[in-house]
Amino acid sequence: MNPTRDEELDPPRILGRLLALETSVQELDEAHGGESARPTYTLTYPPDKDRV
Amino acid sequence: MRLLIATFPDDVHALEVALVLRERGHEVVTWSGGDFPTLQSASVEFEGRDTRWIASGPELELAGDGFHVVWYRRSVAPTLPEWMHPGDRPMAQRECEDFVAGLWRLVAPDAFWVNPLEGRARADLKLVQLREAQRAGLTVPRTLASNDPARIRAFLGELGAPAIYKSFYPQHWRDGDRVAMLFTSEVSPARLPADDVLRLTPGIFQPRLAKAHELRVTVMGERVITARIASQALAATQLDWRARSVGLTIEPDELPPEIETRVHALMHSLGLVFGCLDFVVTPAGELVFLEVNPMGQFLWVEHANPEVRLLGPFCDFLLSRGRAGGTLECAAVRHADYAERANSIARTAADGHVRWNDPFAAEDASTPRSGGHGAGTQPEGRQP
Repeated sequence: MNPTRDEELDPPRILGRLLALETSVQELDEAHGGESARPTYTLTYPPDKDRV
Repeated sequence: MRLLIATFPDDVHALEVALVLRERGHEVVTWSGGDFPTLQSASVEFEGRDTRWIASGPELELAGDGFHVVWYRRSVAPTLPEWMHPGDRPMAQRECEDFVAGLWRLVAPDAFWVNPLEGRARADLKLVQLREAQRAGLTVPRTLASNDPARIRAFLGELGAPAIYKSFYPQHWRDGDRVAMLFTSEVSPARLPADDVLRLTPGIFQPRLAKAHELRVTVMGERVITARIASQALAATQLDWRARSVGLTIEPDELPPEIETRVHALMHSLGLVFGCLDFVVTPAGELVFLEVNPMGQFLWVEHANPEVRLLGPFCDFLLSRGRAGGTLECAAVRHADYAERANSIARTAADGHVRWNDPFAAEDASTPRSGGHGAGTQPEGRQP
């Protein structure tokens, strides 16, 4: 049996999405040195893990 | 020496290491996994007792092995074209992935692998990491990994103190110029979604640890390079130092010998020759193991503090094929001398390749602009 849920306009979000830090791409760049220091961000992203 | 690097075209780590090695006369081939199957062809033939394989594509023309070292830097899934019939995609994707996984296990079986594929796959599992860390004698945080809403709520109640939530994989959601980044986050029962949603995504729950500072420990065979991260000096990095790198102070440090011995035991049990480990150092001086990233990022540490040398040691680690006391051919190599060139190459390196789909990014058209969904903006970072 597949569980059902009352239809909602916006489906509920999972915990990871609820707790995610909301920001802008610009703010994210600035937190990692801004455009001028792009290498810093590039060196830390993509993140540590990948999918095998 | 012949080296093969599996990665994506504009991977700065791979580009920088390749620059260093090519300058010293070594042959480096990079294999961009996302180019398969649209731009890459590969074949394997079995005949009698012989096995032959061949692969070709942009900047790739290989037949047989002959590689001394394979740096399996990033696994990039085969990427199918948008025009493909949606009904055919699941089968094509599965067939591509099975074929490529088998192919990699035939490529250079006698080479030195960083990391061996089976160890890498096992070590990527956080639950296995925590169990093996326990067995190696390392201190791990009290942890619940679960999708059971009742157990999660009970665990958070039992802690009676601030708790954190971690995912098994990194993730972010994009909506135009907005982005929601998932780091280690403080969590309480009040912030949990309804049980029928909570159970859909298993998570890792731990007490929030008091920290004096944190350690990033990069292991290359027998060599251990430790950096101290002053994560508590910035509000944004107290929970997770990945949230901000500007102003984050990093200094050279060393592991206590007994911890180093346990780290080597952990690496051995996981089947890893390279890894980046994260530790919390508590105010009482206890080292608490958080995780090991089997192919973690490492050049950012030398970028932040050139005294913590990583590029040269890593290149020598590859050239030494993991043997202790191997070559010191790259002893004088510094990240600062290669970073600009590598980044310059990276800016156009993806041209002519299939665009790499970031597996940790999701479109999020409903990202709230403010408030909404109870997500809120968290001023503080997180513990990784």
